[in-house]
Amino acid sequence: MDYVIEMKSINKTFPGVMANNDVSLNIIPGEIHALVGENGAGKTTLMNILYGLHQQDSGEIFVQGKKETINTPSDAIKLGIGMVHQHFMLVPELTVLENIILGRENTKFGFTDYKTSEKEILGISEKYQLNVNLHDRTYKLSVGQMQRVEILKSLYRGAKLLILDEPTAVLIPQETKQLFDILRTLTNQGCSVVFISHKLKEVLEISNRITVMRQGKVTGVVNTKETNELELACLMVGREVVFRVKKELATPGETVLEVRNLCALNDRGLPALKNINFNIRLGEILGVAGVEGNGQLELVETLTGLRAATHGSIVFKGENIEQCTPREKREKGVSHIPADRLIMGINTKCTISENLILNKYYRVPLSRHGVFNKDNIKTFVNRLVSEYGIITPDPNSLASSLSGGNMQKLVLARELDGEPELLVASQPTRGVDVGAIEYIHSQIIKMRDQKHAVLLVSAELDEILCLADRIIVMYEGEITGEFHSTDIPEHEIGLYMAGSKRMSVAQVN
Amino acid sequence: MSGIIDADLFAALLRISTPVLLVAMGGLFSMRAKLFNFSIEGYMLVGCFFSILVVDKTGNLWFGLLGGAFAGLIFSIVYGFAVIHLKANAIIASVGMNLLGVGLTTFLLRPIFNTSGAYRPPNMEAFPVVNIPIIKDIPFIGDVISGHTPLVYFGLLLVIVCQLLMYKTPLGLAIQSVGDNPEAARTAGINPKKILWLTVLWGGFFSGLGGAHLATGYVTAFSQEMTAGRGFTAFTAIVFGAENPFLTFLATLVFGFADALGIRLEIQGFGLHPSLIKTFPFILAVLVLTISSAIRMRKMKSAKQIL
Amino acid sequence: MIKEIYSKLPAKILDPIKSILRQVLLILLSIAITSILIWIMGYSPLAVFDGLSNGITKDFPGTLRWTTPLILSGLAIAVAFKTGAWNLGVDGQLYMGALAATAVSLGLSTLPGVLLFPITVLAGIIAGMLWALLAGILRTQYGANDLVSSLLLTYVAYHFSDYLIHGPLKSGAYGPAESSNIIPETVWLPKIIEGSSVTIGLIVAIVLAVVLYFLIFRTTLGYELKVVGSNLWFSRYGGIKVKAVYLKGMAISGAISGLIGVIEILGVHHRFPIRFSSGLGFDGIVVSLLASNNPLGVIISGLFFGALRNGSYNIERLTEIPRAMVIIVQAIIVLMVGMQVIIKFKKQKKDKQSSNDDQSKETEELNTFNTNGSEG
Repeated sequence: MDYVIEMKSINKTFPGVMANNDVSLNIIPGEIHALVGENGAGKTTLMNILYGLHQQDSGEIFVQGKKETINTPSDAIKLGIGMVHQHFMLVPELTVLENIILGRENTKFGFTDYKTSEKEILGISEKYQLNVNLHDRTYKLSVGQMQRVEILKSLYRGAKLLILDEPTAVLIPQETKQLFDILRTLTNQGCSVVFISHKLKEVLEISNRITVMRQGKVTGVVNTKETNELELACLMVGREVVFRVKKELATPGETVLEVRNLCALNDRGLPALKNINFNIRLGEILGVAGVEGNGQLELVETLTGLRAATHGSIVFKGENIEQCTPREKREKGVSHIPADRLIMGINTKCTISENLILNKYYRVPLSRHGVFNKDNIKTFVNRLVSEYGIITPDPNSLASSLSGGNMQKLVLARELDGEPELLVASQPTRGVDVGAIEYIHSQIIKMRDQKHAVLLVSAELDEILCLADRIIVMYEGEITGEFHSTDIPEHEIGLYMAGSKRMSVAQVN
Repeated sequence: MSGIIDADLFAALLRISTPVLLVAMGGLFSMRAKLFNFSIEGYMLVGCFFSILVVDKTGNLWFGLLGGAFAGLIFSIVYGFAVIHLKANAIIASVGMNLLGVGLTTFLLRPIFNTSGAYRPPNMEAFPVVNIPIIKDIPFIGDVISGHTPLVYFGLLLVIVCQLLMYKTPLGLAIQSVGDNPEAARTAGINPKKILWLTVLWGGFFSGLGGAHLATGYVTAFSQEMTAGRGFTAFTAIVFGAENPFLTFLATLVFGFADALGIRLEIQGFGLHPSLIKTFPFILAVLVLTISSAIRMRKMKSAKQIL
Repeated sequence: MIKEIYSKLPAKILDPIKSILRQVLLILLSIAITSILIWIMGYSPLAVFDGLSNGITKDFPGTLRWTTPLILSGLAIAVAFKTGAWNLGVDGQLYMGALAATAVSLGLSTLPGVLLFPITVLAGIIAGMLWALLAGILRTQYGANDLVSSLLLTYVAYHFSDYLIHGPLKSGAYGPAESSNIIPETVWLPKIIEGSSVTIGLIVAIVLAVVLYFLIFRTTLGYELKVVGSNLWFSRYGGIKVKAVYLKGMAISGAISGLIGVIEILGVHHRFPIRFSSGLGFDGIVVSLLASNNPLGVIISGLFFGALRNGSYNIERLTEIPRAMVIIVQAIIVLMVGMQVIIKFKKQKKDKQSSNDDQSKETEELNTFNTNGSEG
């Protein structure tokens, strides 16, 4: 049988990491081939090599049986390979049309010939049922639409093989269905698809064959029909997996945070929060579900003082705090694990120790009258490093030297030390390895069991369902639903996430 | 005021703006590709020096212009190498290039022209003047628009070319995408390094040309650090125009107006000291920068509570 | 044997030695490149070395005279860069400081020295500080790029000083040409080396370097400056008042710049000569970069450039080799520090190309926050 793509014994090393270790992969024409594995297993690296964004250290790539060297994405494009990245590769200020033709424009007298391209693209979008308005500015599109633009972009470039990197991570269940329909149409028309994912249910639903990777190596290639979730999970993790963290039933105490009619604007100055109402009690984890970009970020920032509320009140322990600065809120007991670890959670240009003292540097015992006490800082930092198991040779080395999981432990150490009454945790496990995920989850549950309150924002519905005691769903800056039990089918929550179903105000409160 | 604001003033405005305009059209594309490139002041100065050198050796003004432009182009290669290949900080590298421009031109004055401070080639001629038929006979407008050196018209033409290049060609689209999302450009098969190189070299060439025009067509000499911040004014114009060629052109006119008006006031002896008048364009530039930034900030109206 | 000792030395001693060696290599490389150019132009290729040795052995007081302002302007830049403030207007701020000192001492010349001296010094420092704060406030309030505005304000200061010394700061036609009147002797700085221009200004500069070292590495303000300078989001998140800290950094930088003006006028010129600074402010960038923005390092690199500058004056007098050769050396040093020539070379050997792409991208992003600065 001829393979569309055959990758043989690919090796790729990054400083300190063997990202791909003797990896082989082959794709049959017209199949949907799933590439599964944990974060950091090397799936994306392998595909970036195929797409010419990285070069392998050794190993060979065959396209339609012919050996090829792929040095740049344009080489890959010429060979009919297209890739939709996890973070969309679109230029937000350009129109959809401009984004699609970028780098492959038709010209007339040297000028860009938009008309011809437009006709061509309309033809493709009709054939594959990919509807988007070509003249919209790209930043106005929904995530699902952007994904369609990305697929169109690849097809316009003549892709015969489409690589999709974690395409469902940002989609609600209903959008995922639509995507799967598109993928089936594509394969019916003769395209092949590589589908990167770590969500096993989806993989089992959509793929024909599955390649599993762990720590840079292939641990198995199976036919989808002949496998199941448990087998895949074992191949992925290398041991029995606990699908749910064990936790006791919550015994919530008194209300610690009350949010009333809260409104705030986003960075573009448009309403991002529209009359948000909810409360959290001590000893419970409130999960905020929703597709990213529906106001969760603004909610977290408003609660922690990084964004001004335009209306409404935030009452913490019986006190209005909506006017407080971030530092005042922290001192009152509101702690914050930010979503963007590398930009906000960690200062990569400072040392680990400088990162750890951020919340307390200005107070006795770390400093007195504005002058640091070196010994006290050393004791403080050493205590946190050992208590939270941050693995580092020297706390005075740069924070950028830490691995993703250790960075998050650093953030956790800084934010949980001093026992805050409310922890606002935003995407706390994004991009960290399994071990760290388990650790972070257990810390969050420990917080709850010690009768503190937790607000958990996560784009992973699984994470919310597994950790939260109560769930609110956000859609376009509003709370569309509230669930007091976590025993709800995902599909049901999906309807609220998509805004197609909403509870009345009375129900939500 | 009627004695101050007349057709001559506007004609002078066009004349004075041209060197800055050329430099601004040069620097614009690399700024759009999000390279913080204010080394254009340095290219401009190098352009001044080498245009005078070529005129001195050949006696031909046109060769002088080309010489200045190519000197700027060659000079910009150093910057491109530092920033694009070695990933040097664009600001630090710009400071270095500007220092190098000052150092080189001041140093070379002695061994090449055997003088220090300033040099005027003995064979220096003036550029021919273009009288546009029909238009030149229209009162006022004729006086403003007609009768300039060819470089003035070239500058105006360049604005149109830049506008088309930026918004109507694949290259313009590529430059914009490299500026806004280089990864996206790369995955679309564009080589961001190649695009950045093009913009840097373009900047070197036209900044050099702007300098050459300043030296050969306007001052008719080279003097130490003669650009005196004109490159920075061009840079401000680009910032003000948000890298849109036409808006940038308008900004250069505003600065040119302050300059022209200053000279006018000085000649007519309005009691203001010439040095005081020379601060006008720079004060105006600061004001324009502030206002345009404030407008942009309000537009994006960050609702974040800035502390 | 040497290797053994080498490996036993603790990092605390080894790291500074390594970085000094690295910078010396960088300097030698820059001088070599410049020398080639000098040689091509038909001069002695050893001119730069001659200048250096001349500056150190034959005229050490002259070197110290230049070291003083160079240390100070290096400090002004170091503080600004630490804070993420692109203050490229040190030159303008030092002119404003010098102008204020000149104007105050001339205007209040009837006051007794004990009063006049502190007022004069203070006026200069405050003027420099305000000129820097102007650029700073335009950024925090209106989002105007501090680099561009501080640069433009420098040109305003140039022309404004030209105006003042041609008019208000000169009485009638009797004053000296192209400079202000001579300031009262009561404010002149005491000399520490007779027959030279080396004044207590040098001691002030060195003490200030030590104070700033302490400030940056041992105080909470120093911590805040560093954190704000390296990551605005992280600072805001940590509850640091970003704008206030940024303005503090700008103010310190401007105050030091003003002090340069004061010391130049009160210690060296005793009047305001037209355009006296000849780019001292930009030299500060080189001084600070070579010292990796470390205040103690600034003392050493200030001394080096002092020797180079002083030597170049002497060489120009003796051999007609233009002293602008020093500017070329400085420019090449700036470019090489920017390119991190030596560090990068080592790194590339170690890990070819790889994922440090991602890291540089991230720093670039942070840099754009710093330069676009709508966040302040």
